[in-house]
Amino acid sequence: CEKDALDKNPLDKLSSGDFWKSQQDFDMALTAIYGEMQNGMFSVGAPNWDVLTDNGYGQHSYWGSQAIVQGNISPTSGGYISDVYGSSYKGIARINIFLEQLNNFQGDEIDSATKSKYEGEAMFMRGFYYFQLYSNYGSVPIVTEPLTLENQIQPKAPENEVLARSLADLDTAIANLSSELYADNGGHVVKSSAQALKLRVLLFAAYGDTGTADSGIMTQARDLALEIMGAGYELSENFEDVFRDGTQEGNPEIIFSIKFLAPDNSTSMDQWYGDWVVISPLQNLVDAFDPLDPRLDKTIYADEVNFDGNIHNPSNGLPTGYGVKKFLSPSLMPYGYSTQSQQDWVLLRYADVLLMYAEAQNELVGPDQSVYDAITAIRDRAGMLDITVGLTKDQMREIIRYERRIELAFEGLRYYDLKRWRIAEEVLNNISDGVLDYTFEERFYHWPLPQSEIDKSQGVLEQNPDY
Amino acid sequence: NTYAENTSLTLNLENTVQQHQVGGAITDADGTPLPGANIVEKGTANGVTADFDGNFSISVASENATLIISYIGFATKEIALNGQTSISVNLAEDAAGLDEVVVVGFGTQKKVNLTGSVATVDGETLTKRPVTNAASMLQGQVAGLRIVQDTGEPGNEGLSIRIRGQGTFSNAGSNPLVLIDGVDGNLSDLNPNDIDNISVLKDAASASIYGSRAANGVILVTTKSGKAGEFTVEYNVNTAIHTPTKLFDVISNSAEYMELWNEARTNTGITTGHYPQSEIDLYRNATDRTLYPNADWLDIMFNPAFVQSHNIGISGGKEETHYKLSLGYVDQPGVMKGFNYKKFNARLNLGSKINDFIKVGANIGLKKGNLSRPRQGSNDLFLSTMSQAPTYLPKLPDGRYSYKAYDFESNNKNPLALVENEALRTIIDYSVNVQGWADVNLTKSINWYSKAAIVGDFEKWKDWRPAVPLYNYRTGEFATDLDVGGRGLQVNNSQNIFTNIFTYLKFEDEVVDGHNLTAQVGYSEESNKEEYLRGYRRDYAGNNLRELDAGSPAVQNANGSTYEWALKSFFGRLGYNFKDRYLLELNMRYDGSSRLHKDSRWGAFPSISAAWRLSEESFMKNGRMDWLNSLKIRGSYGELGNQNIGNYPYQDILGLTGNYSFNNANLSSGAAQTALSNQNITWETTTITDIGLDMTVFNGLSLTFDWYRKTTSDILRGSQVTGLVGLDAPTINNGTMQNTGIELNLQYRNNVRSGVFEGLNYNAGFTIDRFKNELTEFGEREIGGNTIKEEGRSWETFYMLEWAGIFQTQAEVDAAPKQFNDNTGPGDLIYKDQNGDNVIDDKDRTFIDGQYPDFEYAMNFNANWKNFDLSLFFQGVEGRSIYVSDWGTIPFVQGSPPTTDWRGRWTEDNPSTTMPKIYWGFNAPDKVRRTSSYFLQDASYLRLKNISIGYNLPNSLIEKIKLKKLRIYLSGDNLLTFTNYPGLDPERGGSGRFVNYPQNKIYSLGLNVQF
Repeated sequence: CEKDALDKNPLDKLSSGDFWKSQQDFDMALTAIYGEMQNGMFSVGAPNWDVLTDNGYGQHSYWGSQAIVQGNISPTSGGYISDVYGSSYKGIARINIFLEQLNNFQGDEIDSATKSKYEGEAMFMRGFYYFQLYSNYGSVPIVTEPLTLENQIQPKAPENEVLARSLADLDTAIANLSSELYADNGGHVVKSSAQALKLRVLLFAAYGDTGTADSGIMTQARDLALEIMGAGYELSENFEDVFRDGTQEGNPEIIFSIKFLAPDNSTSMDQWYGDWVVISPLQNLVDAFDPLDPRLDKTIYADEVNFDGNIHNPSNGLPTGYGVKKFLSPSLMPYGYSTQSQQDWVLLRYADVLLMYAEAQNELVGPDQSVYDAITAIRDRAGMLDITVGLTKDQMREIIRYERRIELAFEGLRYYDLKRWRIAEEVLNNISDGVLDYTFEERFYHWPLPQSEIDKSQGVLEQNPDY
Repeated sequence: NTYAENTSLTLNLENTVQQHQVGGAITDADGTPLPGANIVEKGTANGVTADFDGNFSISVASENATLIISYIGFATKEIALNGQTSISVNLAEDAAGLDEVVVVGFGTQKKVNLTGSVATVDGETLTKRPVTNAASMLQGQVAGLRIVQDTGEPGNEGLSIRIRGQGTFSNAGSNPLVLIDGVDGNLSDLNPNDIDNISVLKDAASASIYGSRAANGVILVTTKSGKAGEFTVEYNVNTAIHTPTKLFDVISNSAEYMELWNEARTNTGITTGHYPQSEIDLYRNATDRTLYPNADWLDIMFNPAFVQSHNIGISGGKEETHYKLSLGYVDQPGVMKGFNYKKFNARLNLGSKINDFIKVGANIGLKKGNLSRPRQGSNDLFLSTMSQAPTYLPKLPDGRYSYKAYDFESNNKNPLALVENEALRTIIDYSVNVQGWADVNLTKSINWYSKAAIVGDFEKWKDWRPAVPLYNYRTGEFATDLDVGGRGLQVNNSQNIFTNIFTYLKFEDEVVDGHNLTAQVGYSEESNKEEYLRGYRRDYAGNNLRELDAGSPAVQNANGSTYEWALKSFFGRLGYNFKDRYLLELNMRYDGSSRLHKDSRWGAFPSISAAWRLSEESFMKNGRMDWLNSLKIRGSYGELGNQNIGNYPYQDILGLTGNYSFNNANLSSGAAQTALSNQNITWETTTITDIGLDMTVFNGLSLTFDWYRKTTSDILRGSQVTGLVGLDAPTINNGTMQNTGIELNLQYRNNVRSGVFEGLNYNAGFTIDRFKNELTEFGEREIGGNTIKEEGRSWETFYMLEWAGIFQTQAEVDAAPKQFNDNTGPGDLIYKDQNGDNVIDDKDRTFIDGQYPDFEYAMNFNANWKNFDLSLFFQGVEGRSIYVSDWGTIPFVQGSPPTTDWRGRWTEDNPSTTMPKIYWGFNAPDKVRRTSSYFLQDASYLRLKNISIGYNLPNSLIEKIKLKKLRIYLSGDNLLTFTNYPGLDPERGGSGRFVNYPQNKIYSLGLNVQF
């Protein structure tokens, strides 16, 4: 009797020993892997990556953006500098535990096809996290199995191995996943999702430290892009439909999105961008839009949010006079703390694939018809005139880069683009209309690893150069 | 036995026939009369008080009665009359209170025979202050007991109670164990008028009988009991005016605000959202201040509050039963709109003697609290108030609620709209503390005591978040809905049931001549179950129906859970005392906890203590040292445990987390391991060594001194896991924290025996304590926002850039080390180059003292003369710093008006060396917002906590209206403060936002009546 009174166990949590026994358990664990992708930095907060660039200014300095913009980047900076590292390994740990349990599962309940599909989905996510680590830090430790207190200290792997890890995981995903279109697969990741992500990784790797495209990687990228282009995706009829709740489900352009559902799984997207003005577009971006480009009004608002005369006046000031309109929900106005948003975060979409194809093909063979076709498709959909014919390869490169900035504005890709093209110093150090003074140094192409990780590693983890 | 009773005349209402008249005089050893001495017939409630000349007259039942003569500061004497009708009595001074008995763990002990470090406070001292929370009243009363009251918010004062510093850095926490009549309880739930006395057990020797629950010391509260034979009705009433001790002084002139706004935005590089000069002029020249107001939002939201409290106490007893019944009521609105607290207390303490051996009784305490406050708390409402511009009033002239005068303005929620639309959390909580006990004298020297108790807390809160439209102040156009943090109604019911039974046997006797022995063994069982159930519906048709069923079921959710813990304990005590000179005590507790794995569940916590009363030795009593009235040295050593680290710290569990909607229609449940687990955790151990001295000299000056070292090891903390693990850290036993300190308490009492102030009794006290906190074992350093955790330093030592002035010229900037990548210019902050590398960066952060005060001190002075009484109480904290941020620091944070000291900001024409150039709010550049000592404020203070002056109406007068006592008094709290702290009140919990619900300055008038 005495023992019973002192034996108390949680009444609302599962014991690890009783879990991993059925397919339902694995479904729940896989769900949690998707759920982890909702991390604000990678989903609803992803537009904030653009405040590190010439696109915008972040008045609230989310994830320490202001220090990064001003070049005050150190191992103790915190914000993105430490959070990308921590969040990526957190996601990886969840996947590694899942994969180990999946591998050890002996029952008949999960057939090998299902097992393979589960593995592919998890590998897609792991490839994503290693890409975050690779693109932001370069060389980091590679962890592919659950760690314990005993083996928690690991040395860094060279940058190319981190890249290889990301690509290998994505290859596993491509091999294991369904060939259906994303819209037809119940919200689960598909083969083409992994292909599109791999395409993004390849394009980052292609320019190396020089900014000159490697033709081997570009060939691989171009071929991969062609495969995706043959899968059946098409541009959404309306540009804005891609970003709005109600027109996202089944949208033929979306290749992978991170989903949300109000009220219990809602986000602050409308509040952040529509009311708090977390991101303030800079004048130079507004000026970059063709005044006739309908995407300007669909991407940026001036002074107030205005959907067909339905107006919301943001509670926080507009330091530059502008705010981000692209992801806002017209039906949820007025925005505020009470607003429960549920638009999905579109991580991969077909327009990006077309632009990536155009970029790779232009670098490989120059502006052939297929490059023109890809650009034209995007501009047509936007309601813009076709571009001039007879462009040189260099001119076409500028057109593609311009089109990426406009079409993909605030989708969190601008910082990644500036870095991979190796033009971050040139672009960022010449911004004249920023609220902040921009400083980008060569060494920032690789961020420092968090000092707390160096401190805890007993000398094993080495800091990146120049920090 | 206090000054308040000295002048009271106790009448026997039962008025039985008295035949024998006895008279006499009471004096001290020098023959000076002792007016107010108490004379009581032994075994009855029959008593009188000596008059102004020390004379008395009393009727007693028998010529052989015994009289008990007592007077504060003197040894009580018993005089057998043996037929005498006139006696004169000399009382010997006894500042040490030889007979004073102190409540200790599971029993009482004569104060002179204590071997551990125990301090006591009596109930009358506590209730001198017109505050409503019993814990606040303990502030400054005991050396080594530090009470920090964060705010003056009604019913939510944010009190931190620490005995001898922060004991650990784990989640087990540093809160002392509070026992009310021996059972776990909450000081805030008590009616302070019900407190008879409080004992604070500071060292391991006195606390170790509570073992694993006593690592941070113990506060023992004993409630008042009725006294046999005496029937008294008491009524106390206090009415008070509360005002904030201090508020920000902000610029509320709109034109000035607008100009500063433009200047700050220009300095920040923001070219949009400036006030046009024409608009500024409109405000400057306006005559219609409704259209163009200079709104002072602090004035709108803060107003004096009228607070009242009433207490009725009925006590007495007949034959073998005694009782004490009390009722209390406090109505405390806040000085800030939107806050209100009402507290109702009832208590019945009952004891009955069944026969010569057995006593039984019950203590029943009930409390009901009605609290309402904004659901996001006082800090949020205060910062929202701060964030409003003076250019508009809370309401448009037609009564609609406002939102800005200009669209480009910045603000937070309209605080008045929030309060008036009742977007509040209303909390009703009941607390019940029911105890039954039996006390059996098995033999003359063996006593068996048992108690069973249930403490129930039942709380219900409702969060109401209505839809409130807001309109532009000038255009009247709809602007937005009030931000109430969501929408709809959330209702939460929770309860916590704690049960405790304990029983012990105690032997106490003089076994051989001069050799006294005490032996005690006992067993205790505690269990706790906490449950909550919460429901939510979002959509309501209007703002009137505020129940869940009145909302639409379309969007709703429910949550709930249950948590449990249990503890079993064996305890014992062995005491030896030789002729009251040599004292030795051993204590032991053996605890088993549900929070630990069964293999490491049980822990033993022993202690030993000894004392030597030198003044009892013959060589000290030979007359040459007659200035020395008493002297005792004592020492103790012992171990205590702590396991208060969440309910299930070792279990290997999966979290139900990571829910995800694959189809945008249904939410799928996720499950994941989120933390590493470690079954091999055991008790956190606190070891305390204490050396103390108690001394009384010159018949009036008493001194208590303690030195201690308190070391907590095997701290139950999260392991320092690397980010690669990707999971939360397991709980492990690792780390050591040490507090070393001294405490001094001086008391002096005297009375004036001749001259104009003949009959003046007074006493004065002074306490001071200081300690040093050190993290002696931690692992890798951890750097936080403005602090560092590093071995060899105090826990969370301030760690930041050192502010070194203001740049005056560009040449000065150019000559100085480059500060980060900032575009530093004249008027900006200078940071100190700590490492001399001619660059200012994160490596120039340095360690700054002030997280822990150098010392805390308190002084009190009490006097009574004729029918008047006076008391003063000062409390101070020296050497403490607080890091403040946001609203009130940088101007225009969310539009908040600058404080008036920004009129002295740096400009080219005003080369300030203390105030930098003005920048705009959250957009202010990092160069002026970096974590630096610019924001670290000296929060040292000395404060007249309380002054009260009372007058007892003369007996001759009140007897006519059948009263025993009628005292009227004026009392003031927090009237005077000496501090350098800017802005608000230096008395606050710690670092954080500059805005903090203010402390109260209280003027009160009260009445004590006894029937």
